[in-house]
Amino acid sequence: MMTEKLMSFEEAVSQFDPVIGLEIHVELNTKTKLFDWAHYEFGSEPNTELTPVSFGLPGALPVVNREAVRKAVKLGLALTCHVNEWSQFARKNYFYPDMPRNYQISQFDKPTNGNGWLDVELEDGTVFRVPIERAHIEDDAGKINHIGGANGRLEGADHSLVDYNRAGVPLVEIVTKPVMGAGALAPQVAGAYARAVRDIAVACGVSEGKMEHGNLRADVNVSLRKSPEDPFGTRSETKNVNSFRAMEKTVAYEIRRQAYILSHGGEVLQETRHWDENGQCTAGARLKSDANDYRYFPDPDLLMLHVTDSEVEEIRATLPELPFAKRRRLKDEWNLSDTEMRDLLNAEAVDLVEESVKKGSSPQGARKWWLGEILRLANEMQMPLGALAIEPEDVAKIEELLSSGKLTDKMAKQVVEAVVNGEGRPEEIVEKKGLKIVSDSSQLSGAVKKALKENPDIAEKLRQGNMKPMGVIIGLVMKETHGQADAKSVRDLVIQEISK
Amino acid sequence: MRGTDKEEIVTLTAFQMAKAMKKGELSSREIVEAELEVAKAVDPKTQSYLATCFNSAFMVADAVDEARALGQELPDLAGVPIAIKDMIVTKGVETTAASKILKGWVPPYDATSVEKVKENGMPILAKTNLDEFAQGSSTENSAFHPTFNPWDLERVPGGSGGGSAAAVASFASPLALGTDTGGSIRQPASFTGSVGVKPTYGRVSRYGAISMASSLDQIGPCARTVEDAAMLFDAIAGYDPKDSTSIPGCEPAALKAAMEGKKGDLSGIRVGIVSEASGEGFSKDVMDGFLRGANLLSAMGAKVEEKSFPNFRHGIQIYYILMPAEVSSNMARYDGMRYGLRVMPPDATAASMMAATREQGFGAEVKRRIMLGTYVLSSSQYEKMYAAAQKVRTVLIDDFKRAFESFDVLICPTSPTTAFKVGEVEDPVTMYKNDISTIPVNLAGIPAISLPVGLDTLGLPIGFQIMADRKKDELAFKVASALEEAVSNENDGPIWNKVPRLWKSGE
Amino acid sequence: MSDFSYEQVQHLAKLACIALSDEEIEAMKEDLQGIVKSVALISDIDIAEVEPTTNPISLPSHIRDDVAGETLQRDVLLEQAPECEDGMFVTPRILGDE
Repeated sequence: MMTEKLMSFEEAVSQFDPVIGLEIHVELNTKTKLFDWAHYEFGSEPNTELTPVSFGLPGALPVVNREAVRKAVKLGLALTCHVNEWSQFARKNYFYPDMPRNYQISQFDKPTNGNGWLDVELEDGTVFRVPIERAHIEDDAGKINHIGGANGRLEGADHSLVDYNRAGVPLVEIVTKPVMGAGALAPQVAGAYARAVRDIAVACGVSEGKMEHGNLRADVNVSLRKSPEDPFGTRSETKNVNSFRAMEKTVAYEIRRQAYILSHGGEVLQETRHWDENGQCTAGARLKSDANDYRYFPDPDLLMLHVTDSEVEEIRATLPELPFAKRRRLKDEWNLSDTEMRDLLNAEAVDLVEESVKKGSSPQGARKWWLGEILRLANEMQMPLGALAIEPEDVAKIEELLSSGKLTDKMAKQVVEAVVNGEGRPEEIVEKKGLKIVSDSSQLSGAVKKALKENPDIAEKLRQGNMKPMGVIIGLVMKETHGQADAKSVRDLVIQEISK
Repeated sequence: MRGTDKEEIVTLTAFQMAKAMKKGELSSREIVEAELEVAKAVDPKTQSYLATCFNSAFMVADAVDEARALGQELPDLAGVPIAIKDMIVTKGVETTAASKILKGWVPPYDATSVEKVKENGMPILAKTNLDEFAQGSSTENSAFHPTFNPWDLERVPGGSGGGSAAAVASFASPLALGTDTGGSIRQPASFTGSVGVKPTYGRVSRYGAISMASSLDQIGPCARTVEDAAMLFDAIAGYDPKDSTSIPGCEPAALKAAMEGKKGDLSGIRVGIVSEASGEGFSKDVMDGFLRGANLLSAMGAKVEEKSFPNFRHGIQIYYILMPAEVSSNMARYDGMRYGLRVMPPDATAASMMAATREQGFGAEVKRRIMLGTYVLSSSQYEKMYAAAQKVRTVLIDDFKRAFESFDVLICPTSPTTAFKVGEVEDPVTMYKNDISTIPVNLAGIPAISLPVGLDTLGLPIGFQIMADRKKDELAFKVASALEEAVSNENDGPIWNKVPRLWKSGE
Repeated sequence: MSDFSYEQVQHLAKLACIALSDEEIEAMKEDLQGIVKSVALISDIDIAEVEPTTNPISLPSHIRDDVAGETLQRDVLLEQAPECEDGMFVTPRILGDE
C-alpha cells in the first residue's frame, strides 16, 4: 500500500479548521427484522434466518415492524429529535452482492426523526454539543466473507461467500450536521460522540450496542478549511469504522493527510475510504464521486408511516435517565472530582458502582473496589469489568463484611479474587476458606502478652505514652494469628495491657 | 370419455361446473380430464401455457371429489380448475415471468392469491404465458414463445396476460388469474372475447405477484362470464397482512352484485362516457360496438351521458415515466447471485457477472424500460420527470374523484382496436398506445372490467370497459353483468361461445 | 436525432447494471428521446400546488407486530443458487472500485 504523506497533527490543526460529520448505524434489538418475520441472531448458521421478504424473492413484499419503529422513535427522542408524524420509506438503488433486492429500503426526504443534538463530555470535563440532522430507519444488508485473500480481506480474494441472514435487520442511521469548532479536539469529539450514542442506545434498551457484533458501525466524514469563515472544503468519507479508537484515529489521520495535501497546493478528492487497522491509516477505494447515483424514490410497496402524538408521548414516558444526566447526578451525589468521574467512565464502571451502592455499599467503598482490585484482575484477565463473575451485590456484601469488622482488608481482597474466579458468592468463600477475624479477647490476649513480654523495650515506650512502636506489636500479633486478628481489637488489648 | 361429453364439460362456465358438481352430476376429476384433453389439442395452436401441472391438479380434484362424497361442506369453487399467469409465484411449480433470467426457478412459497385458490379447492392446471415480466401488450415479448389468439391464430391475444386470456377463451381452462399493471388483464380480455377484471388497487393481495410496477400492479380474474369472474374475485379478494398496500375491512360480494345485474335493471345508475377515449387511434368498428353497448345500458334504465376528461389521454405519458421507474428498481434483484440465470463473462467480477447476466437474461423491452426508469430517477431528471409525473398522477386521480361525484360508472372501449396480427406492431410507442384506455385506471387505483360487447367486421371481439370508483368493484360487476346479459340476448347467445373450437381439425 | 450521447447512455447502463452492446446503446438513445418528448406533453399542466402520488392508497401504512414466524429452508434456497459453498452463496471476486 502506498504510504501517504502527512503533516503533524499539531501543525495541521494550527493551520486548518477541521469539520467532521458522523453517520452511526445502530442495529436495533427487535425480535424480528424490519420488514419481515425472520428472527435474527448474531452468529447463527448462514442463510437460515430468511423469509421470501428478506431474501428478496420475486413477489415478496415488505411490512413494517411496529417495534422497530417504536425503538427508533425512542432513540430519536433520547437524541432530542423531533419525531415526524408522517415519514416515508424510500428505495436507495445500487447493486452489491450482499443486497438481496439491490435496493436498500431507507428514508430520504421524510425521515422519522429529525433535528436533535447530543451533549458529549470530553476528557477535560468540558461538554461539546453535537448537532444531529436526522435519525432515520433502514434495513441492513447481508455479510460477505472473502475467500482466498489474506485475513479474509477483500483485496486478493478470488471469490466471496454471502450470508444473507443479516439482510433486513433494522438499523437507525444517526447523521450529524457538520460538527464545527472542535479544532484539535475533533478526534476526541468523534470518539466521545460515538460512545455516547452507544451508551444511550443501550440505556434505552433499543440495541445491544456491541461493537464486536457490528451492532454499531460508523462512517466518518472529514474536511478542512483555512478558517471558520471559509466554506466547507471537499470531504472524504471513511466507511465502516468499527471501533471508537478507530474513529478517533480516522479523524486524526484524515486531518493530517488532508492538511499535507492542501498545504502543498493539492486538492482533496471527494472519495470513499476505509480505515486500515493493520496499517493504522485510511485508504482510498478509488471510487469516483459521480459514479453513485442512488436514485432514491418513495418505496411504492409501503405507505406513509404514521406516528401519532400520543404514541410519541407514550414512548417518551418510557425513556430512562440518559447516561449524560445520570453521570451528572451521580457525580454530585457521590461528590466526585472530574478526574474521579472520568476514571469511572473510562473503566465503564459507572453502572456497576451505582448498582453496588443500590445494594448497600458506600459510594467510596464501591468505587475503591471496582477501580482497584477488581479492575486489576479484569486487566490481568483482559476482560471488561462487566464481564467478570463478580456482581455489584457481591461488592456490596464484601463492603458490609469489611465495614462491620468481620473481614480485614487483606481478607476482603482474597474474597474478591475468589468471587472473580468463580469460586462462589462472598459468604460461601468466607465460610470455605475459614476467613474469620480473631477478635475474641481471650484468644488474642495471650498473643499480645507474649509480644509485650518478648519486647520489653517497646512495652516500656508504650507505657510512657510513646505509641509509635504500636505497629510492631500489632504486626507480631498478626503474625502469630496468621493474619486473622482484627487490628483494632489488638490495639485495644495492648492499651489495656500496658495500663495495668 | 366421448368427444361430445368433453366438449360439453369444457364449454360449461365455472358457475355451471360448480353447480353440476354440487348436484353430483359431474366430478372434479372429469372436469380436469376434459381440460387436459382440450389443452392437449388446443395448446399446441394457441401456446397459452408455459408449464402444466395436471398431476397435482388431479390430486386436488380427487381430494375434492372424495370430500364431496363424504358430504363435507365445500367452497363454491371447489373442484373448478384454474390456470395461473406465470407472473404469480406457485410453491413447487416453476415460475419464470416468461423470462430467461428466471428459467428453472421453483419458488419456495405461494402467493396469497394462490393460497386462496388452494384453500378453495381449485385444481391448478398450468402456468400461463405472458410478455416477459408482464411488459408488453401482445404476449410477443415472452422469452419462450408467443401466444396466439384462439379467434384467429394469426393474431395476438393481447398482453401481457395473453396466455391466461387465450386459455380461458379457448376452453383450456374455465378460469385464470392475471395481473394488470396498465391493462394486462383487460386488453387481452378485449382481444379474446373474454372477461377481465382489474380490481381496486389493494383489494387483492399483491403478495407473491412478481412486482412490475408496485403502485400499479393488481391481480385479478380472467373468465368467460362476468358471473365466473365474480366468483373468482370473491375467492381471492380480501385483506392480507403481508401486503402493506392491502385495504382492510372490505369484504367481497361480487357474485351477489353480478346476479343482481343479471336482472337487467339499471335504473338510477349514472353512466359517463369518457369523451377522450375516441377519435384518433380508435377504429370505427370498435366505436360502433362500444356505442351499441352504451345504448344497451340506456335501454336498461341507466342514465348515459358524455363526460369530458381532459387528462385522460395524459395517463399514458404519466405511466411511461412512473412505470419504468418502478420497473427499474423492481427488476434489480435479478442479478445472478441467488437464483435464476448466471452468466459468467471471462475473468468475471461480481459486477461484470451481474451486468452480463442481466444483459443476456432480459429481453429488449425489459431492458428498454429499466433504462428509461433509471433515467427518470437519476438525480438530474428526478424533479423534472419522476416527481412531476407523480403530481400529474394526483391531478388525474382528482379528475376521477370529481367524475365519480356525478357518475356511478365510467365507460369506454377497452382497446382502440381489435386484435392485431402477430408482428404487425413493431414500434414500441404504437404498442404502448394500445393501453390508452386501460392505463388511467391503474394510475387512479380504481376497478375496471372488460367484457365483450360484440364482434367487428372481421369477426373479432370488441371489448367494453366499465370503471367504478375505488372499492366499488361490486358496482362494476353489477353493470357488467347486466350488459353481458343484454349483449347475449342481442347476439343469440354469449360472444365467448362464438369462438372457433380449436380441438376440431381444420379450425 | 437524439440529444443523448453514447456516454450518457453508457452511464445509465452502468447504473442499471446491464452490459448493453453498442447497438443497444445506439437504439436506447432514440428510446430515451421518446420519453423526453412525452414529458413535454405533460409539462404544461399546472402542478405547482399538487402533492405527488406515490401509491393510490392514501391510508397510513399498516404495521405488524414483532412476532417471529416460519423461515425458509436453507437447502431449498441453495438448490436454486447458481453457485454455493459452505451454506453460502458464491459471488465472483468483488473489486474494490465497484
